[in-house]
Amino acid sequence: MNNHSHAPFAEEPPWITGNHGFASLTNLVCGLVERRAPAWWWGAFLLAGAIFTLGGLMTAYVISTGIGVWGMNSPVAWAFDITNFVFWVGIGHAGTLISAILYLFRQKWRSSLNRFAEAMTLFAVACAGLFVTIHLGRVWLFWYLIPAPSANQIYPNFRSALSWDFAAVATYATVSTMFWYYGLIPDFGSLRDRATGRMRRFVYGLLALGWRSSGRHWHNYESAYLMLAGLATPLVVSVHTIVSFDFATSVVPGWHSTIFPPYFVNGAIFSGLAMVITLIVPLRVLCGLTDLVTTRHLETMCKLILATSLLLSYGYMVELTNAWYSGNAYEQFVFTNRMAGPYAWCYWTMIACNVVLPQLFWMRWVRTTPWAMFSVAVCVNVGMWFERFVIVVTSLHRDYLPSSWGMFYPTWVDMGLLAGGFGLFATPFLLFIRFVPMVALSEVKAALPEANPHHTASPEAEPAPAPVPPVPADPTAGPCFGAMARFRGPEELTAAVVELRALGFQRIDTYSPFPIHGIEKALGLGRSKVPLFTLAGGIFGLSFAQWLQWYQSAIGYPLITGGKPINSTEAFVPIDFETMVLYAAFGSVGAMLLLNGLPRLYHPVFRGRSFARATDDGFFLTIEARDPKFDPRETPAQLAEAGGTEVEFLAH
Amino acid sequence: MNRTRTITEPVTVSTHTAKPVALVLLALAVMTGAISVSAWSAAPRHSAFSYLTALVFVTSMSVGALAWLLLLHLTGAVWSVALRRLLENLASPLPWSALLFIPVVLNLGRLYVWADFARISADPGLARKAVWLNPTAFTARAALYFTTWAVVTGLLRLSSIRQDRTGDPAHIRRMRSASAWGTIGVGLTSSFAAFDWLMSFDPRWTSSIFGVYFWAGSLVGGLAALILLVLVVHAAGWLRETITAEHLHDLGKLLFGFVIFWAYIAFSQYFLIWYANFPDETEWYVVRRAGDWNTLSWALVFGHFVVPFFLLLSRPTKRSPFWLGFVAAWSLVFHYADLYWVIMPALSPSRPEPRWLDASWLLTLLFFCGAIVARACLKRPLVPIGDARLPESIAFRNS
Repeated sequence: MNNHSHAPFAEEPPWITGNHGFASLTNLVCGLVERRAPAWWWGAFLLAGAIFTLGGLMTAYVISTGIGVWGMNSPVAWAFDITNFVFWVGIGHAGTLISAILYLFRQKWRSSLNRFAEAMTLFAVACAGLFVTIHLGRVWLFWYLIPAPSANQIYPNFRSALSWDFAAVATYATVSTMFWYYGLIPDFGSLRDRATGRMRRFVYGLLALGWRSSGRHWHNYESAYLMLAGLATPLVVSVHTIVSFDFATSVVPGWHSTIFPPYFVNGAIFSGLAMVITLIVPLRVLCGLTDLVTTRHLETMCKLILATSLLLSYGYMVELTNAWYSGNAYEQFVFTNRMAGPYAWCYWTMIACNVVLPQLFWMRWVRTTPWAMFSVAVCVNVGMWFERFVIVVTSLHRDYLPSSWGMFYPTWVDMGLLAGGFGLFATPFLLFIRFVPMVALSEVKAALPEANPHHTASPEAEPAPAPVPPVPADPTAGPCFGAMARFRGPEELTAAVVELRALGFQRIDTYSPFPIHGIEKALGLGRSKVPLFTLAGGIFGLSFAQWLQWYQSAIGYPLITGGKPINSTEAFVPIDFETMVLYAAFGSVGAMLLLNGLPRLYHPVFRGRSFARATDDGFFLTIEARDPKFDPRETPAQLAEAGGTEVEFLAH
Repeated sequence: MNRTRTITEPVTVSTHTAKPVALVLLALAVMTGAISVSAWSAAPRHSAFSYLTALVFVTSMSVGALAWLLLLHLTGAVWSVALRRLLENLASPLPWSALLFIPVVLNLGRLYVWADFARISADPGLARKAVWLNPTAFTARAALYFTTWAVVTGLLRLSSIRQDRTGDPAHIRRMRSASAWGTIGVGLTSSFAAFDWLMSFDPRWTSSIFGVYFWAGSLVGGLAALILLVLVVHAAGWLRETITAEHLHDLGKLLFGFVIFWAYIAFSQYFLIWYANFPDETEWYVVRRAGDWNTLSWALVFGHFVVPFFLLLSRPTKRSPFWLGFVAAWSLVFHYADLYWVIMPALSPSRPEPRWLDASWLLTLLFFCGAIVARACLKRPLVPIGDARLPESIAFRNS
């Protein structure tokens, strides 16, 4: 295991500082949600809400009046709308990078950051959705994009980048939301079990879907999590790839460049990482999370920003050298115009912020000093916004026909919407940190050294719970679900499972605040069946999308567009891919719920006297009364012998 | 589970076993080389193309191995420490490739249309490119590429070997910072090498993703070569307990990922050119989508992507030495086919004209580089015995 929760070498500090145990982590993270909102939060929320309102008014004005209130014109038919769209989609990419790609690469440090970054993704994608929707102009005709048989017998044009965008952004928003909520289920369980008020308990109970953190739950849960990470990784790449196709499939100089797909994806991750730094540097101090989001986390992120900045610089360089090498006069003109034309200041701002300033991260001091990295990250955000502006506007404003050249100047509505986007991003984000655990609790716990069942020397040996005499056995009083006992830690729990199974018990289940490595083997669970559902979902999605596009383009409404054949398999690939991922993700999450029998809000184990600790720091084991070896007189003693305390019977 | 495990088997190849291997490979290289050279005058142009294809193939595997070495240093991936020396050995032919490139320089006129100055300066579309595309500049740049690769390989190897003796952990940091600069250098040079050596066959054609396309192919090639080398070393009876099924499993996952990456890059390039439909650009694909070249195009879709994708999707494939070795060998075959598909239409645009020369040059260079890798394996321990992270790497388990 590449377990970095403790340092393999003295030179590397640990990822999580402050000597935390399971319970103190629960208190730290859940406390944020349970305490009253601090003053800074109200200040920030009011400000964000005001900007949000401004954005809402601007949106209403644009929709009711028409996009003529923007500064766009012919030839600059795309400007702030698309710039903001690409900017916000890009921001979202870091969330998926941290939650999915780093997961696949076994980077356990990501667990302190992923929840927060996933939320950032969601709200950034919401902003992107707003801008791309209002840029359509007549938003009430938005439904034309949906491939439903319409009364007019007109179908969407699947050979158009607009259709691909719709599929990509919609899939990305859906899968990111699922991934985020999926990760939250165990943590909602923690909040439910700690809730003091009825209302809180009810709401978090509903959101937790009856999660009881059993060994079987975790088994399927982890399998589906891996599937989701495996799906989200190509998905995130495909989303910005398709955004790049909006430009690169055209014949506009400065837009049509084959490097665009990987160059856009990399730029998106770069900007998203910068946004994570921008947000987390102040928040980790304000929320008291400096033990979980340490300087080492920040330094690693800075290194990733440096690496992506270098790749971005490579993209800029290749674009330039290719423009020269191609010998294409239009291509060359676009680049000289970017560097020396009326928007040259935008171009050089972009170069300064994206290429030059991130080089400061070569210095360890900058990588480890929060205010310094914060300043660089803010500049990167600015630079990446300008990058999109440069790509969108400078390629258009002086097009092939010099007589139609023009300039774009933003109006006050443009500026208001630009600001409003930040309000739309910040307002739900602030609500998120108030009501939802902003750190993935069960994952951080699983990354602690004592979460490893083979971990021996526990640094803070918690006193064993005081022995409580077994509950008087009275199984004749009513239907009995089974017996429950509590164990000290993952190691003891795993050992008890092995011991009890050796005695012949079969209907055993365990309950722990995080998945215990290796316990699925002790419980005798085979490989999870989740991947089969994922595969089935993927096959269905791919065939469905291919059939739909072929039928609607070649049979339902055959019309040559863009000189492409009616049945253009190439042009169907983007939507094929997106739909495949969407249904595979549905399959994975659905399989987890189905195989775990969730949602199921009531279960006898919740009657356990201290079972609420199962989502905090408690480790429990049940043997069902259905088990042929179950004996109301002997089983409690067997449980106690296996190391269990607080042995009790559970009524149905 | 032990968090650490020490080496339980010999890691230094005994000379009397390995030396003959290197010598036999060298003898085979000389033999096939002699046959290939003797056929040169019969088909000089085809020979030059066959030679270049084979050379780019072996070089790309070594550059790919070097790139993996750099990336694993940069990310501080502990699991891969046990594989490091093998990667260093796979990169060791790079300084020799510079010598192997000399025949290319001597045959530029047979290979590249731009080598004819009169022809390029008469064409208004190409005349200004003569500054970049001329034999002197081409040779100077190639020298720069090979120097960069040789220097980066040499520095990392030197540090690594010193660490064998001293066990000084400072080398870890030193190799990591060398890798930061090295990655930039190797990234840039390999991308320009692709522009120079492969893209300039059609001096009118340009694709800005082409450097990344070469990276993707080389990373697949380097990884597949590493997997095969591990299996060869295992078959010879070494490192069976040091490099385990867990390491193979991880290499399989990486191969899976980079097979997809190659497909993504290849599709992006094709898709954008297909969609925009500029005559200057589509020309390149028009040739490759007609007749037998189109058959090869489809073979690449299946051979370089679909088949390895589905094979590597399953966990048992990645952990089985036989199947993983099969996929690795398969991927190498299609990596060669990919380069053949890029290069050879410049020789015979209407249809592929395979000759036994292609095979004999391929074998010559494979034997030669194989001999160098074998010699490198022979001279040093097969794992970096001085690295304190080695025990943790040996004990590595996929969760």
